[in-house]
Amino acid sequence: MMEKTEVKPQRVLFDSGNELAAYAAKQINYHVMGYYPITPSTQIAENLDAMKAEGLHDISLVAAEGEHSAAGICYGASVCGGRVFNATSANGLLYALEQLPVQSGTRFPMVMNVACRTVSGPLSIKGDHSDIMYALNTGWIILFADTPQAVYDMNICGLKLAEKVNLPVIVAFDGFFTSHQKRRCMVFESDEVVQAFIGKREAEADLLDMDHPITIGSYMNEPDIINNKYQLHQAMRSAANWLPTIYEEYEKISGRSYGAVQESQMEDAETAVFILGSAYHTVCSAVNKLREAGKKVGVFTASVLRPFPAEELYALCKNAKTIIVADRQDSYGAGGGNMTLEIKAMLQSFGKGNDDIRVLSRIYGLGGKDFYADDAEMLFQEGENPKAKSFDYIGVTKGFGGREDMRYYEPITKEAASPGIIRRSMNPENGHVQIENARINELTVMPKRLSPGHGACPGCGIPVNVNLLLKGIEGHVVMLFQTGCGMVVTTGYPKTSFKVPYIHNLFQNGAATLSGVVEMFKQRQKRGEYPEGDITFVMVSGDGGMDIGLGSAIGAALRGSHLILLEYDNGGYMNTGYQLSYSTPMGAKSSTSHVGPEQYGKSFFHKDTAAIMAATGMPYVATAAESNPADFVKKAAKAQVYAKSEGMAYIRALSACPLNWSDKPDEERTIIGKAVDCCYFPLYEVEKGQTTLSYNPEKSNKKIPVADWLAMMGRTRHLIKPQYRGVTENIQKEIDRRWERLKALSEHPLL
Amino acid sequence: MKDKAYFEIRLESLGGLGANLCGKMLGELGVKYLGLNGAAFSSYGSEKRGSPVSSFIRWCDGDKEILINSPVREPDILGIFQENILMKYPWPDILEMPRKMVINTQKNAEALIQNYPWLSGEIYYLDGISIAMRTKSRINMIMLGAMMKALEDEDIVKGQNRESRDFMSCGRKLIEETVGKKYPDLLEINQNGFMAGYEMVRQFRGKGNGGIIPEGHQEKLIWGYENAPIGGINPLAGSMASNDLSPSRSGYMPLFDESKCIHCGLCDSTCPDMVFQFKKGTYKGKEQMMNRGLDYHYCKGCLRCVSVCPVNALVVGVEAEHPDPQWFVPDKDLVASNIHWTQKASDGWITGESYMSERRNDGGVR
Repeated sequence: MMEKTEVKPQRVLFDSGNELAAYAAKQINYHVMGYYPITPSTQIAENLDAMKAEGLHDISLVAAEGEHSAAGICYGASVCGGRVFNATSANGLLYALEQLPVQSGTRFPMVMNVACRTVSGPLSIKGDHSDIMYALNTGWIILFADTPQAVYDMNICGLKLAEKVNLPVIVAFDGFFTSHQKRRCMVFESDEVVQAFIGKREAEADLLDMDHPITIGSYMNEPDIINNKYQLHQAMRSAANWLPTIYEEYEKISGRSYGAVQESQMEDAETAVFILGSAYHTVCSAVNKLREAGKKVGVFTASVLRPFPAEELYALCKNAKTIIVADRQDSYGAGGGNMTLEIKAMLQSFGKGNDDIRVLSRIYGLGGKDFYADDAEMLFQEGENPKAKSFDYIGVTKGFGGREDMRYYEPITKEAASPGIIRRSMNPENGHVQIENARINELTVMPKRLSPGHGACPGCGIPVNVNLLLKGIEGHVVMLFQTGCGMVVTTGYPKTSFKVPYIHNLFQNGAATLSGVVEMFKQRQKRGEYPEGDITFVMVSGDGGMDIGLGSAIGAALRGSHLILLEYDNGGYMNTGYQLSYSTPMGAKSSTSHVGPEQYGKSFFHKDTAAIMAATGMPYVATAAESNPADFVKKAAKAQVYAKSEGMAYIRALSACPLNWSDKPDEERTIIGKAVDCCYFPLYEVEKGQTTLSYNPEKSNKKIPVADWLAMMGRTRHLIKPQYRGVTENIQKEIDRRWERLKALSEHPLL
Repeated sequence: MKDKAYFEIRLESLGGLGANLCGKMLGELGVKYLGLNGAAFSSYGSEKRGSPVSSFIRWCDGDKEILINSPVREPDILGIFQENILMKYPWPDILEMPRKMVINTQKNAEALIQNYPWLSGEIYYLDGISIAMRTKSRINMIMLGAMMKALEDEDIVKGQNRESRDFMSCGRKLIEETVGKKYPDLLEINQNGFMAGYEMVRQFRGKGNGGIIPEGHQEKLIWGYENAPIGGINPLAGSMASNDLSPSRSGYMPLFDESKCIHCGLCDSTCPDMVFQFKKGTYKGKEQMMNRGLDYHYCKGCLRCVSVCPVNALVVGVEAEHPDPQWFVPDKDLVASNIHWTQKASDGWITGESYMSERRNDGGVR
């Protein structure tokens, strides 16, 4: 006789998919989460961090420097007998992609949430399914949640399934539509209920088992790899068998039932739509309406993509005459998105050809384009049209109007951008570049390379720093921005703020990209395909880009690529809602370093990126601040000389973010001046390996304690309270250490 | 009125005013306090200051499901967080005039009717800015109070067996839960703002016809698959110059007194928005670059320039007092003669649960 299980006590929340994924993770109390912020999944880590600050769970939250590393952290943790969690989206998933088959192929369970978002090129952040379809061949189980409630439930059931069959699980759901929409939902009152349902973790293999040493990650040759993959295939089959059992058990404690598929009015439907995710419900409402008008229509969906529920889907749709598969991504050139291909394959495997059941494919809602009930009705109309195209896009715009009469600025000529105010020479004593007459008033003659009208917040430091840099750079420039606020606010389609040639590539790949640009420029000039003359290549990155893209930047520096890299350091991932970066000051609060009873803000020191770059031996490294504008421009001019003649030049500028520093826009220059005066951000240059201080606040009696600077910003003001004195003292000590070291470097010609 | 499956609310606002939170709270009000089913979400773009933000709320009976995830285009109630938004009528993505509107404006009923004769249905209006200055509360709490005034006689609200019969005490509890937990110090002022919003809101009946909202201004150029350059490449260099940034401002502008100016260029070095127009001229008998003024089209009112000006040639002014076009010195490099200004500030993607998103709009808590 089966034991009767009662539905466990639950309470109502009004939360989003991201919040519920985090809540489930908190209740499970995973051991480790390795993550990297990417919209729209970031809130999962943010919410877990906020709960951690309150002491509500014990999960070790590790903010990696990129998704590749985040997935690596997860993998490493998952082989050690505990429970592991991750969340990502879009390019984050793709950057981590090569880690996924290792996770599944070596059979270590974990759960990763994917808030689905369109994959870049051009960059967009809104929801579609172009990312998740890349994961179809990774050997991960993929559950697809269509509501915030399902996100919660599948996070719990998913982990149980993962551990049952030793495969990792993705819980996928629509970015924004599900990840951000707040809905009424139920959660278990007690965390123990969740933990008891999943059961104790009994790992099949454990790297930390010293009594039974194991080797993970063998090298395999051709006789063996196929067997390993066959085992994976068997595990996937086993997952298909386990899933209904787990859902059944879960229904007993939750009162909510799930299956591999869902449907509405499919029984006698002649025209049916197959659609994934939140849009399924929109089609349901269209079905209800069309049924009232006597139309035999229905809709069905899959709640699990791997293992693909072919039998269950076939049972639902076998009597239909036409199926319209709506895909929120395209497998370009295949005649449909991935779900079209899978539905067609499913029908064929049951002996149904296009004459039995006609399949139409429609691509919709790319880049988060809204899908209204009217659109759903249109899909059914297509299905009733015998002459409908087998494959098409819906919701595309033809466009109208020409652009011939539209011109905003004349191209900036080399002459106009070379007023000859700054004088450059070489110091014969030490071979260093000497810059004179970098005068701020006279340099107002320099044409601005960016147009006004960009969308940066009032008082934003990014355009200020970019403009100061460009004041010192004469002649033609080509610019590259890495992903970040600076890029987003200047190039929101269909407009651009750039008056000079500009390129954006991936978040972390700017230095490599610009290296390629420089090489092609040189090659074409060499071959006589491009006119003589100089171009200065300028890359701009935030401190976030210098976390995830540090390797690429170091590579360019080591190769001696002839380019200038400006890093605007605002100490955080401001573009995505201020998550911590490695350059965020210690103790600062951010949305992934909350302040609470159990946390004081960011737990480690700000990254000394200038020192890292100087260690590459590149010819010119400098720090600059808008509080010393003439010094800034001078350094830009120097960087130009070195980028032309020797290799790469790097300038790091402290950049204000009134929104997230939580201070007043009009005080930013003063606040940056104080960062310089307290030696948090000392001004210096490392020219051909020799360090020179540009400004010594001690000499002018302006040095202040770091606490005075921290008190000026909302993000660090809490550190002034007596309970954080220890943290502030630590920051002061580290700043003193770096400053003393810097002075020592500047005093010795060999350092 | 046609039969609707859901009771729908839409809020129109600008980044930084807190409409997102207000929408979230209205959704929560339905679900947690009125026993309804509900959904709330926002236009998922930027929360950068000044960029347009829409927030959508759907309610239905507690035993019904919400099947729609798309934006609310035919709201029962429309909340307007800044009067600027009225100037943008007809709004392209609102299809029908709402039955009720709640407007934050400094105008009185007469002026509203005169300026916006198309206003129809029940119009609730209040001077949220003055209330905010007086109570130190955020605009969104004041608007929440005003929205609740508009909501309280709705059937969907009256028909519920709610925990407390007193609608406003639900609201107060809601603020306690949402704001009070995160920022206990700010609870009282926000409660005061909320109550003031409820009490100060006034009402008249709009004289417009209501119904379908006509199609608005047509852009000269819409890029689609037939005419857009391939690859998303943008050949219109500097085209952001046609953005109207006035919504980014929070009421203050730098005023320039050329007679005091020493043309040092510091203002140009601190301006993030390329506002200052320096041209060659003669100053104290010497030929040099001279500050000829500001192109206010691009000024976001950050007042960085006022702070750095060593001689007080730039001072703070209230924006509304100086509409005189003589203050405008157009961008000297701009060659486009007839720019069609489009209201579009940033298009960033701050979507995180940024702790800042619930801070004051004045640049932070002091």
